Amino acid sequence: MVKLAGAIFVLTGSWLVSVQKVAQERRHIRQLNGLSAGLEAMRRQLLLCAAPMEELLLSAERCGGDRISGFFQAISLSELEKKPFAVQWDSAAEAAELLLTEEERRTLSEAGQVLGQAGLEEQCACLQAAAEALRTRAKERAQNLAQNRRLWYTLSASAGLLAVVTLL
Amino acid sequence: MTTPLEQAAMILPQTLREPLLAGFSDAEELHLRAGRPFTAAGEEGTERPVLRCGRPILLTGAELRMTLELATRASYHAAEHKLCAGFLPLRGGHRLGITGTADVRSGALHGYQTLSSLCLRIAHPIQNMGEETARQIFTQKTPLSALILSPPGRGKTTLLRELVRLASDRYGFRVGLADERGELAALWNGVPQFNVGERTDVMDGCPKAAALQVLLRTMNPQLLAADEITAPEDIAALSAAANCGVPVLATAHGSSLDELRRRPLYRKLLEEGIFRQVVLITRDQSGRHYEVRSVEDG
Repeated sequence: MVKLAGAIFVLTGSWLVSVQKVAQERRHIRQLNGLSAGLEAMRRQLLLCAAPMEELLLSAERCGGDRISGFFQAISLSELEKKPFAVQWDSAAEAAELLLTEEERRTLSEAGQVLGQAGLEEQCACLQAAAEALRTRAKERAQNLAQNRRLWYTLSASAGLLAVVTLL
Repeated sequence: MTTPLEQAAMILPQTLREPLLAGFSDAEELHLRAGRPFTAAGEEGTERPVLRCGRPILLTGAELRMTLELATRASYHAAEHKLCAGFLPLRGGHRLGITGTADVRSGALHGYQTLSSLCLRIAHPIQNMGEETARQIFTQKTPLSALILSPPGRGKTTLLRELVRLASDRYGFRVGLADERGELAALWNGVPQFNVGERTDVMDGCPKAAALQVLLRTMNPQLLAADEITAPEDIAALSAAANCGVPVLATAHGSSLDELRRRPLYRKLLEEGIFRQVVLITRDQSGRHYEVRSVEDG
């Protein structure tokens, strides 16, 4: 009976690992899409009326979940004197604990270097490039997830079975 | 109570603001030049270096960019066209001008690739200077059109602003103000940073001729005002206003009516009879003097 319970416990545990991995990957994709949508919203506002940064950030806030909103909200223009915009942008990405790879973080950071300092066209181009790069990354990850999800489930179940057989 | 200098200095990084406020109280202009010392100039115009620990502060390009970021609240793109047109109006009526490596497209200044110098001009509102002139112009129920005339630097814009304020607040006229360069009212988020009166509607950032037409059509003004008449379109717009029965206050460069009559553009203006009066600004050792003359009398 104890062995059976142990086996079930090990199998469930290994299955949960794969479920968690898939859920995390989905969160990552959602965040990339949210960031991309936020940057795209900023670009649209820029093109529409060359809105000041406060309004650009407000429009971006509405484009994602809590973490994405948190990222854009964390940038405070009244703190500019203590922390320049580009520094606040990077700190906000850290503080929001976004699930970004180094490359994705670099893409976001590069946008922050240009925002607020360049002319309208340069900023629009920069936002578009960053939004596209993040959206492409999200698509790639979604494709990978669709292809590998079953593999992860199978691998984790197999690993669980192997562990059970070994232990028994 | 914040002084104009303290208010203007809010766009400077703290490392520059503190030594400035500690050493200067009468500064009217601040000059920030990359790789050179930070200086301030008083009324006499002579620049003196701002000192930190007894030494001039050598500025870096990063400090200039930081100043611009603070002045625009990280929205350079929103201020770009104003900076290209001359200067950025700031809260309090102060002005920030920039120079640097220009980005020229189709022969016109499109933006700046790098910054070299910033000039922060601190606004000091002057009031109660045009009362006697206003008494002569606004004697009747309807004010008479008047052209303010003087060579550059004699205070035409300041006098016009004061006359607009008095017309609005003291004489109760609804005034339409065409502020093409943002010097008269200095709108900041829609609020005039200079006192131009409670009954004054301001249209800024657009050519005078267009602004005057919009004001005329939409705001039902009892008096129109515009700075520096320089183009035939401006005269056409003033003429249209005059034909609608709305008197006009405007300024022009010139030292006398005779000189004005010799210039084709202004001769047309005077021949059309738009202005009945001319306010001449003269200056001597005792200060500025304002003389109201009838156009017919010369």
